[in-house]
Amino acid sequence: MKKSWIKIPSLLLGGALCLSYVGCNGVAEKGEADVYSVYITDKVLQDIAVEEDVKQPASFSYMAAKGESEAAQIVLTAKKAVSAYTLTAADLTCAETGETFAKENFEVFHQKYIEVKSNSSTAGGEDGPLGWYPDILLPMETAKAYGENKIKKGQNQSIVVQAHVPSTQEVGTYTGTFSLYIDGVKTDVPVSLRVYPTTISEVPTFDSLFLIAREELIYGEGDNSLEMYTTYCDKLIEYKCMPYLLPASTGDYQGYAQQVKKYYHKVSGYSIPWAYSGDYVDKEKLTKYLMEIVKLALEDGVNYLSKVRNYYPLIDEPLSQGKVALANKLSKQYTIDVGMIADEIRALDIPDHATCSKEDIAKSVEQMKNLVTAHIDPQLPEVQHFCAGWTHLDSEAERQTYLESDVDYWWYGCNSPTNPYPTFHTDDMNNLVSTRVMGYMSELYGVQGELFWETVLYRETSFAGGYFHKINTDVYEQAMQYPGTNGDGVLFYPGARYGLDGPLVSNRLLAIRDAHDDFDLVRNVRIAYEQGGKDASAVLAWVGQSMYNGTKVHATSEDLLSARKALFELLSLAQEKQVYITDITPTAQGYDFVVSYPDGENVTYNGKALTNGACQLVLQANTNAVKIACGEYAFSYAVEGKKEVIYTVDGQQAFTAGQALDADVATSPNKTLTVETVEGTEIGLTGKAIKLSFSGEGQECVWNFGSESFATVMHKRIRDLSFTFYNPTDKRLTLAIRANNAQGISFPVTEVLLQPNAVTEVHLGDLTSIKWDLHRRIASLDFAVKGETVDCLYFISASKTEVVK
Amino acid sequence: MRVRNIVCAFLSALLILPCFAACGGTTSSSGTDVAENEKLIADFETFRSCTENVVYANHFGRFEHNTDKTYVTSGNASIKINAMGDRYMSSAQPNMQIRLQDDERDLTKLKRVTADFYNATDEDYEIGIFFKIGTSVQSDTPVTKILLEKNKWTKVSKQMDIAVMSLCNDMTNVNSVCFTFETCYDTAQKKDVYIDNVRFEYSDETPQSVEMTLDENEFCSFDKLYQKEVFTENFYAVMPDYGFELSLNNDLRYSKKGKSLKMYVPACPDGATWGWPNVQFAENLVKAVNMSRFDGNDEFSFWIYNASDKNVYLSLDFWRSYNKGKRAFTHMLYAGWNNIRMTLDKINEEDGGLDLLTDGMTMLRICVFPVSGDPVELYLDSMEIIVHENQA
Repeated sequence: MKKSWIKIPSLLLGGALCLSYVGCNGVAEKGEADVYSVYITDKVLQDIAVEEDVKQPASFSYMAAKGESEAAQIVLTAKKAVSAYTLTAADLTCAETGETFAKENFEVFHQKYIEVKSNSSTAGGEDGPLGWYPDILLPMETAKAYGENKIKKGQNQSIVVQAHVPSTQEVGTYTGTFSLYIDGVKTDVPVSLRVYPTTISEVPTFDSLFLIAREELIYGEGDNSLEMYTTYCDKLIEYKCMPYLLPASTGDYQGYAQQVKKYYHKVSGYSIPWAYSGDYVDKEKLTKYLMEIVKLALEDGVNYLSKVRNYYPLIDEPLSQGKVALANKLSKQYTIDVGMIADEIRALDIPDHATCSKEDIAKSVEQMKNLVTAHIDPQLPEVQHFCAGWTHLDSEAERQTYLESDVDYWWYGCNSPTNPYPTFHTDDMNNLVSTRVMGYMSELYGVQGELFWETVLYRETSFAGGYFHKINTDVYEQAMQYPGTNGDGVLFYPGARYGLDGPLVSNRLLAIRDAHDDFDLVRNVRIAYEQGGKDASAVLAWVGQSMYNGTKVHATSEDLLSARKALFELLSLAQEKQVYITDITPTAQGYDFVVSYPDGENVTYNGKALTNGACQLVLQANTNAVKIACGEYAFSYAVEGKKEVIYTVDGQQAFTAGQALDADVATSPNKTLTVETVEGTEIGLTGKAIKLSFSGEGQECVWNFGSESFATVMHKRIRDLSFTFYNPTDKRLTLAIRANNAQGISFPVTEVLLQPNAVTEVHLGDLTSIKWDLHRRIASLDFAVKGETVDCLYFISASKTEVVK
Repeated sequence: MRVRNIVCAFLSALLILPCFAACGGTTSSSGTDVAENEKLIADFETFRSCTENVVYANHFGRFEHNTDKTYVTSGNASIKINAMGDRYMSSAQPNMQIRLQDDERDLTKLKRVTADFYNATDEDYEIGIFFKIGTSVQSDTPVTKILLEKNKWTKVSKQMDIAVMSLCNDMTNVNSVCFTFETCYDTAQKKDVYIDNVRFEYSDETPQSVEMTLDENEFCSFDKLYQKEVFTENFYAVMPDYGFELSLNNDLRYSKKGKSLKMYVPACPDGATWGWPNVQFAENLVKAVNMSRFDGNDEFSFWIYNASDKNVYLSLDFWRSYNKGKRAFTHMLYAGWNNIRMTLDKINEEDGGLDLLTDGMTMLRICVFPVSGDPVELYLDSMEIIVHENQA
């Protein structure tokens, strides 16, 4: 699989090259365009030429579950200026069943572009070029009405078509053609839609909390009434993101309760409007809101309080804003207060409803989350619900901390981080992919939701003279509405410019919606396995590793599509044939797969028939593709990169033991590191291992791995570097790994865990994200056991996985 | 050191101000004629001009860029306002703030503000005009109310007494000219008002400053003409029939001598966020009094009449500057007359060694705590420094 995109140097500035399309005789010439497809998650800038090998034949191709919305795009590159173009959708037909997919389920958009005049200063290595980025989805009919459906010579113009698959749609492959008209000349564009036998729920399982600043709406819409706020809330919910507050006036207790009743079945979560009393949540007002909702819950027999998760801006970002004490104080009191309110509910003189008791409601109130925008930190002992930035959970050690801490954790997005982590920045070339991959990784990492700071920053926030100032700007003309980031805080565009009663949606919001659907798709696989008494974690993680390491995303659009296809195939095999991949373990040569299937089924692995019963397969070294088939169903997937063992103790690989392990660099002056080659039988293994023995005072058990030849292994195509250790202790050990460049600059890479009394393969993660231009050459790695003193560890092997070009 | 007879001129008004450059009439970009002594501040010719330098505050509602010539008085467009506000929010009336450009911020020569308003409703409609003063920290001038007759144009022409306004405000640094609108919670009513052609008219000369004359040891007696301008009211929770009002009182039953300041304090309704009504005395008055010239055991004193039958709490806040060096003292007021007195040492000792009175006290604020049940009337009078003659 290759990372492909645009040929940056070959800029074709459309405006500069634009020629009049009126011929010499004054008669308008017909426009002419090169028409092709690219992945929906690829960004085609309006003014930059697209590499030929990125272009695919013009078509709209969809792969979706029932109830899911998916989008696809074609691109028109004008050879001659186009004065008017349009695309009309049509019904599709399933050849197998004769069923129809109605054209009303398609939504056609003219892609609008926004100019990025300076890059996001927080953006990282894969920051895009300056230019006109696709970001605004304008309905085609509106574009025609406003005369925007034209293309200057040399410019690219995308047409995005969303397919909304009804949950009642029959499974099958539907085909047909859409009609593309370029200056009146019709072209048929083939369309295919495959509907899979799984359903994505209307209300996402993955919760979210997105803020809509009502006061900002007037600067784009000329309207910040409650009605307009309601319209924005509804659109956000349509895109499977949940507004922070439901549309009602603050202080309107009964009105808010009515909104809870109205929206309860449409949202994954909602918050109670905040009010403070000094440094605390105003318990009296919180009680008033809750009691009004309780009344409705007991009337209707629906526990409307089961979806509450609160967020208090007073303690926003406590670790970076100096609010640690305040956050602890407020959180502690919040827990006490909700307990007291729960008791008040239990004591209410209102009869229980047959389907909803006061006890049910009281328990929900006790469990109302207080989301705090911080990562787990010992300074915040009173906080129980963390929203951590995307850089957190990157290391295995931190993920384990969350999993074992018995706290709920969400993502938190606000301007940072940078590519290769997921971002919502307009000029992050890969973030339509990375945003979607977040949905996948969230399910695997146990992340329950996502809090995003703002969606309608229709005025520029400028920092000057020690203050933040609001400057009225046109959000269609200025991508950087917050200092240093393009698009962050702006997921909508005001529809007023086009006479629309509500917002336009950004491509980035569409990707977020799809990520939340992908979360449910992954979850559906897990559920299908659970229904068969199996665990899907191993196969899901294996597929995931082709898209991300930690929380750094390296997937391309093609990788993402392959992973989605793999999920559908795993689902089909599990649901239709009860065939499961229950375990995958890395070996020196590749991977061992454990496949479970019923007696009597004819299952093949890479074309070879398997015997009945549970079976273990070995994927051969240097092979990165597997195909497991049963009847008409098959799972085929290829892991990214080529895995190669670069060091074993008794092998003659890239290093010898003496070269690789440098005993002189144990950093503690009181420690001595002894390195000796031992028989693996000492630790129950075959072959040999290197025993690292630490002696002397002090806790620091540190060693270094590196050599001249190691530096030749470490280069920018390395996708992963893994080391296998045996931890002979009864404790789980955290290993901190740092890299040292040839200039002696050291920087952290990751933290990994060594399981007690076990062999563990630890992964350094996505090394493509290292700033190779800065560091040039990685000379060695430092390993340090954190917070524990050990007598010895065993080192067994090292492997690298390299991007295949 | 004591100064017995103080006549203090308002110094800021004597500053040499940059001259307003008005050299002959001009024509605006929309083709509107602008006279020599005028400046067109807003004519709303484009949608962008309706948003670019305009702030819409307090859950404003809606505006539209109007091109219906029926509601245009200059150029080709105007702005249509459908103000709403929010019944439940702790906010004042919806208002529209037109930010002034750098070369417009000095209003020391401002003579009047004019604007064309069309009230498209079937009822009279009240608007207000005020200025926001300052850059990072802003204060508001009192709101001047104007009634617009129903279904007709009103040429609003509000003459400004800049000399008097300068007693409380730095009119060389005006942030924006603002218009308030009625709240309209029933959005179906759509109380539409059109605005066009907002202009400033200037005088040729800077007006003569008003002298701030004080009696011996006086802080504020409310008896002098200029003293109706040395305080401002602040209140953050406006609800229907729920407002904090200040007015000068002539009823001798409620004054110690001459006039007093009447404070009408609404009761805090259920569910409302208390707006902390307060009266704030101008920095220029505080500077004119110059409390540093008194001794530590001299006393700051004032009388306040509580016309209710319940106890009311208030906070007396001394400020070094906004949000810096605040010292607050809480007092309970019984029914009838109450004399609040405290030594200047007491005021100073509250703040770790910093001498508030000699080191730039800039503001005095009297803030009322929430009252329940019926509204309360308080009368403030005879604010002075009582000098104890036995001091060395």
